[in-house]
Amino acid sequence: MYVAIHYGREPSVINVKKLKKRFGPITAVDGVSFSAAKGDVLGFIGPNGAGKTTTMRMIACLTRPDEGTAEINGFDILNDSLKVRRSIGYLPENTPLYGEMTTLSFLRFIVDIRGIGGGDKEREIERVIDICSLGEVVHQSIETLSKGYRKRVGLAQTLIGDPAVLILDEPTDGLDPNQKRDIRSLIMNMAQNKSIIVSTHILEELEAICNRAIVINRGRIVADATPEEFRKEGGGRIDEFFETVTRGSE
Amino acid sequence: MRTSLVIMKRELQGYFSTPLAYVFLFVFLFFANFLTFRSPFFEARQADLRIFFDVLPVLFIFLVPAIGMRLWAEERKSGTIEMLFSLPVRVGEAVLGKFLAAWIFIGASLLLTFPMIVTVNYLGSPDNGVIAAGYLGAFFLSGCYLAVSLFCSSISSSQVVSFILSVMVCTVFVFADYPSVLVVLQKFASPGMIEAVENMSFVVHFESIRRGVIEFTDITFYVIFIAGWISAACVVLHGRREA
Amino acid sequence: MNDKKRTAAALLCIAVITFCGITICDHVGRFLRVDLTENKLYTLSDGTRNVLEELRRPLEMKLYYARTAAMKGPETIRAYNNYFFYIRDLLREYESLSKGKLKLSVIDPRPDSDDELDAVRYGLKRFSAGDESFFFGLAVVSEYGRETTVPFFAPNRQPLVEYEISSAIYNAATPAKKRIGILSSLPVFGGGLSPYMAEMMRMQGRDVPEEWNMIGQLNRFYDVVPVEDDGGNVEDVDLLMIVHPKGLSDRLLAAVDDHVMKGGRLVVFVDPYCVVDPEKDHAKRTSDLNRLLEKWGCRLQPNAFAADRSLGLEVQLGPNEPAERLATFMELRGESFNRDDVVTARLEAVRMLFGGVLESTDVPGVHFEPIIATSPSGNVVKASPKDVVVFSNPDMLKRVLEDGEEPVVLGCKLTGRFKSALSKAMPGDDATASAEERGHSDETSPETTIVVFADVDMLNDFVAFQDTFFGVAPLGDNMNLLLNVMENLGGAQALSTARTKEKFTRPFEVFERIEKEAEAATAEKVAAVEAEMAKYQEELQSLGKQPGGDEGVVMQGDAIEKRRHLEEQLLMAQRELRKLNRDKRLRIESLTSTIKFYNTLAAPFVILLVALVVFFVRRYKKNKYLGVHHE
Repeated sequence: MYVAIHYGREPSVINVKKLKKRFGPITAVDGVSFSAAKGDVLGFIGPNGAGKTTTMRMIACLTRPDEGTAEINGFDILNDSLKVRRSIGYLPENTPLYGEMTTLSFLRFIVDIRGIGGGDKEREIERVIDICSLGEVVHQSIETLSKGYRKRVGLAQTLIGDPAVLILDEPTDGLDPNQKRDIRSLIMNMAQNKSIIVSTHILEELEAICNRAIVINRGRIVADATPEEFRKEGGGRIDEFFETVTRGSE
Repeated sequence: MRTSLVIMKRELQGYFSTPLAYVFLFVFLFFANFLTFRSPFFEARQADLRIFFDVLPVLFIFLVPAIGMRLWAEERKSGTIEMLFSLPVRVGEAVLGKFLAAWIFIGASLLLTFPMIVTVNYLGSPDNGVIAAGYLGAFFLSGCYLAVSLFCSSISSSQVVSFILSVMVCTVFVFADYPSVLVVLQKFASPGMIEAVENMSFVVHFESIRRGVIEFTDITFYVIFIAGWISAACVVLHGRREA
Repeated sequence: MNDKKRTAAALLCIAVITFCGITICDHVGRFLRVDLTENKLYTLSDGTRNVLEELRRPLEMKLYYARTAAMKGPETIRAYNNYFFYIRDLLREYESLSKGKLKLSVIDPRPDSDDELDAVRYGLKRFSAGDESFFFGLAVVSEYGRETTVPFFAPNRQPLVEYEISSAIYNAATPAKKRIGILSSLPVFGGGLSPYMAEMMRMQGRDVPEEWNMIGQLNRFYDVVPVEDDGGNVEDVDLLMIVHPKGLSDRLLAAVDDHVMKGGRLVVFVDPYCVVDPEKDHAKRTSDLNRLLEKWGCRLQPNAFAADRSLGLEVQLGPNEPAERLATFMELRGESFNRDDVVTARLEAVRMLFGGVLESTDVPGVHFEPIIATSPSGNVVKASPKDVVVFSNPDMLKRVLEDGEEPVVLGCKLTGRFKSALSKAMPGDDATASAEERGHSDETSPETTIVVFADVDMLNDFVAFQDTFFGVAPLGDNMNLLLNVMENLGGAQALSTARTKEKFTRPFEVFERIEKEAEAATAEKVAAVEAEMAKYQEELQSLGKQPGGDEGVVMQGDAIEKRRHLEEQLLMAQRELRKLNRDKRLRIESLTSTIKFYNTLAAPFVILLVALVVFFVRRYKKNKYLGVHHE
């Protein structure tokens, strides 16, 4: 399945402008700018410590940028943090969840926090349980779930309230191939109405689910293209291209 | 505020779905009773809860930080803090929710000492107004300890560090009015300053309420003190997010 | 880095704001309070509020408390800290109620400081504590320099403390000494001679009546004047004291009535038989003021004496006779005093000789409050004053007196609005004048107070004073009683009805009941065993004293045997006694451990219950949900 890029056709939902972040002497993110529209699945790729997570955290209002800003759904991350977070579903690295809660009570908590009330509440929970196929584990406490299920619970959490933007930090990390496939198909199913940013360092994943890839190295965007274009550049091999852009800048 | 209540509810559920709450309650009630009866409670033959309330400030030094230490430290360690703050939640709301949950929990455990009230009412005819005031004071007192622990919890991701830190800080505030402390202070501080320091002591205000008189001064002390430490925790968490 | 600095700065700000906020609130909002105590330990009485409302001029309250000394001192002194906080808070309450008229300063007098000098000058009590001196008292100073003090706040006087403070404030605010007028048939002022004249007459060998010591006591605090024979100066006195009134002229009665009608306060000492009365005829040594007092709420029973076996003092009738208890010469102690009334709350011992019996005449609008009475076993001895033997001879009394069932009132306080006792126009030559003057005779007086005692001798030197090596000194509390009454009545009317504050001890009644029951249950046995023991002991002793059984000489075989036997029995009896005592203790101990058991068990049990409930609710919910989903 291939989703075409519609530059300019859809208004951009994510608009990142020259984000910069320093941690002491290290510049983790150094002027990152990009934008994404509805329907985009944006792959963040780059070596470890390149600044992917930091960029995503800044967009999710978890870290304040030193310079630059971003607009999500028309809201500025610096001034409208709460509204920004209402329009974002964020899955942190390693999927941290409240282990002692059951799946259901956890989802209820998120629904309450997102302010979905009345009859919509149960409907919303049913919906995400359906999407993520969690029906069997609703009453199990999260700490007893398998990794695959935990990821799915994490994903379900991001979907509550149907936010316009999903930011998924390594959603397939540490899963077995079957589980990976499940998660990928889940992401692809959701792609039509949302802009999604997925970070990964698995190149096949990039090809499988993303319609656009951004390569980050040392806090800078070193490439921004479709996976096809990458493959072309790398002479038919996407990893070759990855190597040249990341190593080449050293 | 609504968000605070949601978070409070979740936290409270959290207490009771883990053994933590039950262990805490057991330890608290056991020691509260044990220490009271070890003191000359029956020998004094006074139908009041003076001895019980004497025990509380010291007992709280160790028990309240045990509840408070995990508030943020655990959240930070497990990383759920990331998830929490990616949700549309203000830092203040989250802090308040967590604080309220822990405070209500401690309040509930205080209420579970009701056999004491029954006991003194059986043995004599106590002044129940004084007892009610004592419980109110104890509740506020625990709020102070908790606010300190909350702050300590917010600056460290290790529960142990946060526990030790809050025990230390609470001890300072408990013993602020001890004569030995004040005598040392007297060497360099002005009398007004000494009074101000003495006035910072949890115990001074607790004793004042325990007499059976609810004074505006004592209530404002507790409210401002708790609000101060809570907002300090907010500032720290805010700062951490930005770092 | 910048972020960290910002955080640190914000934290510092919060710390400063919190600290200042707390300190400011401590100074601003200290008067808003809710007193939850059952006895309102921290709520000021209406009397005090009255005093404070009537303050016209500013007063300064200086609370001296040697805090530093208390800190350094031993635990016993440090214990005053709590009481100090109580007093300080109470004074702050005064300050806030006075609408700015009172200003409180708390002073810690350090050694060799001006403050310490002031404290000593005000006459506060001083205790040495190491190299510091300990003070804990109050000085109230008016802008004219009039000072009153509470020399020392003793925690055991807590029930009286509000009265003491309020009186000090009232007295400091009242510019001049109160004037007491004394109307008496006895020569309480002596012969009215100057000391020089009296000395002269004594040298001439004449009998000179001396001024009673009580006048000197009163003069320390009051301006004491005799009431003129025609009652002309009654109008000028603040307080009227009538001692042993006999045959008062109508004019005098009218003056007394007038005094009360104007709200003046009155103290009356009447006596069915006054020993110090120089009257030769015993029957005429009696006095009463029933003509007035009956209308005002009390009367002295004629021909009646109060007597109480348990309170009687030992007297020796003749030089060679043994001392015997005389039930009509009483030292009133303990429960004789009305502990709720500030006048008698702290008295220990008051002596009364041949006191009479007071009873209420139930006048509406007047409150009759006994302040001194015999113990419940006291009773009334009916005797005419001329039958001196009946009430003054211990043997006679023993025959006449039976134990009564309720206390006999010897002193009472009447408060309320009094109706004129002389409503009809006065007969005699001054009728017109008095009718004119007393146009309001049917009116009622403003709220005022009358105190009546049924004994006169209690004021006299030979009952109330004793000669000591250092001169004459008050004996017992008779003078304290008089001064208390005067202070009470000389103060604001509101304070004369001031109640003592309730104490806050609340014992374990159950324990006390158990002990009483146990004692009652074993009393007979204990008595029996004790009697047995006494018997054995006696036998043992007599055995040792038997003729021939000289000390040092070896006792005969069966004597030794008997002795051993007796000793054994004595030991057994002792053991039984111990066992009986132990039973009592055991009952309390078993109750104690039951309570401990339930207390320490009830809590975990409730927790367990909650845990179980939570568990079952969860399981029920889970099953329900699963069931729904399987359909």
